[in-house]
Amino acid sequence: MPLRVLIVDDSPVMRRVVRRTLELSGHAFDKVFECANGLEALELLNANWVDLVLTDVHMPGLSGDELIRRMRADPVLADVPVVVISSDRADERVERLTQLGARAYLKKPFRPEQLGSILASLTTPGVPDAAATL
Amino acid sequence: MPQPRSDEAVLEQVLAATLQDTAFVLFDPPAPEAREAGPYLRACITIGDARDTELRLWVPDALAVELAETVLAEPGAEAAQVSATVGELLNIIAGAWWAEQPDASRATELGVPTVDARADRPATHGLSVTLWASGVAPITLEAVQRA
Repeated sequence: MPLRVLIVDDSPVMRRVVRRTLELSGHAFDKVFECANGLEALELLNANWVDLVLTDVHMPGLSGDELIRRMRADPVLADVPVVVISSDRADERVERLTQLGARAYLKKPFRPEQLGSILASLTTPGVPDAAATL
Repeated sequence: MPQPRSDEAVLEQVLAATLQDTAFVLFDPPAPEAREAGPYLRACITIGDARDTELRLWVPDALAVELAETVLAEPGAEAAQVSATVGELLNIIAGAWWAEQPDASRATELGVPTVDARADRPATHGLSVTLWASGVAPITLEAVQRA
């Protein structure tokens, strides 16, 4: 089934990179939304269902950490998988975001097949959750 | 405190991986028609606990436009888009570089990339590496310890 995905990043360049990587990942998409920070994302999520959120960490307004925290506290959004995409590869950062509820952590730079693998693990019934850090 | 490991192999690996994966740039040995002419776009970013290391990236103007058009997947990139793209690429390079340092398990302090248009050709003072995009255009990455 085509996926509905939300990309959250304050950099228009990175949003384009992620969108293009999605297109090359081998998955079909019904809709790809884009937001520049966590506040915009929460507003969009209140009006639109998505299968997956791909978010940066450091953003003005509302960070990726806080976005995850608020989604996990919202009964409607609590089960929507969140994948963190970041240049920050530090183990302590990955661990903290995973504890907050991120389902996978994708380190930049990344290839379409890496993103595709995460999408498959998080959105395909019967495929084990990768809980991946790539 | 452990000092960052700034060897050329690490610089080369993070530069090549980032540009190949993000902008589909291929690197080859310099070709006979290699372009050395500038001007260059120069991007800088500080990194580390005290932001005591600076990474500097030089990209020839013409190649920077090609990079932006590839990354953004649209022709006719404007100057601001080109600068933003090169800055974002350096941000990714910096994160990948930090991950190769001895104390990389700690969270990174990355500065905001700055980009200067029409910079002079690379005049490196620290450790640096130059790769040739498709064999014809040089991209230089330098790691400098700040005082």
